Amino acid sequence: MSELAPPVAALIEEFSKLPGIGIKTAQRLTFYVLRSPADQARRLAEAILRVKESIIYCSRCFNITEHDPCSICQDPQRDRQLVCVVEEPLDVLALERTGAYKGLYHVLHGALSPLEGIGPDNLRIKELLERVRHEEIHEIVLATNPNFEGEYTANYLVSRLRELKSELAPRQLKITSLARGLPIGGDLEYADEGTLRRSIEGRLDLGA
Amino acid sequence: MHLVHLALTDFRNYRQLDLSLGPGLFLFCGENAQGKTNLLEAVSMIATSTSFHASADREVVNWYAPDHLARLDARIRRRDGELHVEIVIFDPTPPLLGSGEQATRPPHWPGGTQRKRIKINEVPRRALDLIGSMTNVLFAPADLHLVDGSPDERRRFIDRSLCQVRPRYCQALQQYRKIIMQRAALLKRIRDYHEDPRLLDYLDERLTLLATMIMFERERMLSALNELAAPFQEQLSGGREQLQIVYRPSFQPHPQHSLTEAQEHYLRQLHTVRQKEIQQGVCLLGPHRDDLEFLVNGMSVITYGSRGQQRTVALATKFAELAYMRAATGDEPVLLLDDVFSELDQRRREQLLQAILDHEQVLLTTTDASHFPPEVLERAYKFQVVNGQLHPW
Repeated sequence: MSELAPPVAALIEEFSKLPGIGIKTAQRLTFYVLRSPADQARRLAEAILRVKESIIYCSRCFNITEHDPCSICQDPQRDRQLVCVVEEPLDVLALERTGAYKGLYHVLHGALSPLEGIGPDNLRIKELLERVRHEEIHEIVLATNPNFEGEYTANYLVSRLRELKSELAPRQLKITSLARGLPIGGDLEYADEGTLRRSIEGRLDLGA
Repeated sequence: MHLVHLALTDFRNYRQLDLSLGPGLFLFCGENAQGKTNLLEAVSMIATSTSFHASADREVVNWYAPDHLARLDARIRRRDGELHVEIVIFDPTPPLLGSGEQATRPPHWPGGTQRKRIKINEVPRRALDLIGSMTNVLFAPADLHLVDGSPDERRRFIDRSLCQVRPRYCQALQQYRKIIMQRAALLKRIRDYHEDPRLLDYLDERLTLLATMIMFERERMLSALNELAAPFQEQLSGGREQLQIVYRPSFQPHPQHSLTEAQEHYLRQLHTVRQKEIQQGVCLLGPHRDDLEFLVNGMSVITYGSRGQQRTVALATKFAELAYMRAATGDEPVLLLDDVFSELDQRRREQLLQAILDHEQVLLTTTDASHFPPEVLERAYKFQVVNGQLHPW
């Protein structure tokens, strides 16, 4: 890349550091920026800067936000007795899109994985326990991912929350998790064994 | 069952291979490093979707493959019909060949390109679905050291056939290995960074649950294997020797062999070694530490047996494995023999040859065709392997 002007080479290098972007894509993006109007390039640069300068973590739920506390934590319509625990800010977005959840959130920013060196101290677990101690929370909904790391994290949280229960009396604390089962619009025969087993275990009483 | 056709593209040193097969004995003869084992590796990959000696799938992709893909395409004739299996393996980190200006840059592949794609009868499937489509028994020089080799070798022996016969076992074993890796990392973190030991509880529960399943299947397979191996040993030793294969699990088995209480029983054992595990930073108990012991006439072969006796026992055990696979699936597995004849003496060579000659399909590699009597050579399909190409002779 010795013939390339240094600014071009620098941008290619920066792009290629992004996740999922190899050297070829980085080159393509760089030349796209080079050919686009100056105005558009400025908007891109500003958007990148703004995201770093103005986005902070909410001091209560640790979701990403522009204002602390975040709009969900401030919303008076929300059920403050209900807190849903998720791994990532994108999970909040997914749950919000359903419109079915009216409580608050708590974002852990990851899941336990000893192999990757992620222990409880690397996640917002201490902060969650503090919230349960000091806020009028009556139910914790665990919504970690249904994979090994997610289940591991949920399991650890259950044991820590259980210890807390005696401290909270007479306040009751209910611990729930999202149901595991069949996707809507799916076909029973295409479901894998693990999912099917979980949905048999968690079958619904139709009250007939 | 047998392979009818095998086609390879950029698989190891085979840039392009198109091989028609059928029932019978196929002899692949060649110098070292010409691609004899690679051929058996490909066949084995059709059966299990993973390589028997590469540490990562991508290793099988030829370095000069223009698109960094290796393709395997096989037609298998089973008792219940024909099967078409296709596997495509993608190497996301191909080596840069040449240097400076001449360096060939990898072509662009979208992020998230699957590392391995499998189709069975033109329908995309998971690796787990492939298992059992074609069973095979591999006999490599390492198998001759089944008795005197490392425990790891003996576990690989059990796992290789059990995985092919029971996909559920394969799944449990994969999950178990992941737990062991996470758990070992956690033990070290507890020791070095004083991480919360309660983090072990969930892993212990998963470990023992999976261990219960794995040990149960191993126990069952070994009792079947025992019955099958005894007559082979008698025959190979001229009726003088009684062989017994004993399963030595690392967990103390439950006295009543109760499946429901077994997990509790293992959990208690884990608790007693917890401090020791943390000190050493390794998982000390579980199926990853199981072993087998071979007894001839009640005496341990590894302690009291001669080298020749150890070979005979290994041979009898492999014959039993073949019979086990046949009994468990109701079909003949494809038999792969990788250069084992050079390691055997004349008598055992003849015994082995006798045992395989009438098998449905045998793929055999050797550096020296002179090991084989003319009547065997006459009925075999013979190929010379030279630098990733096959030449019939």
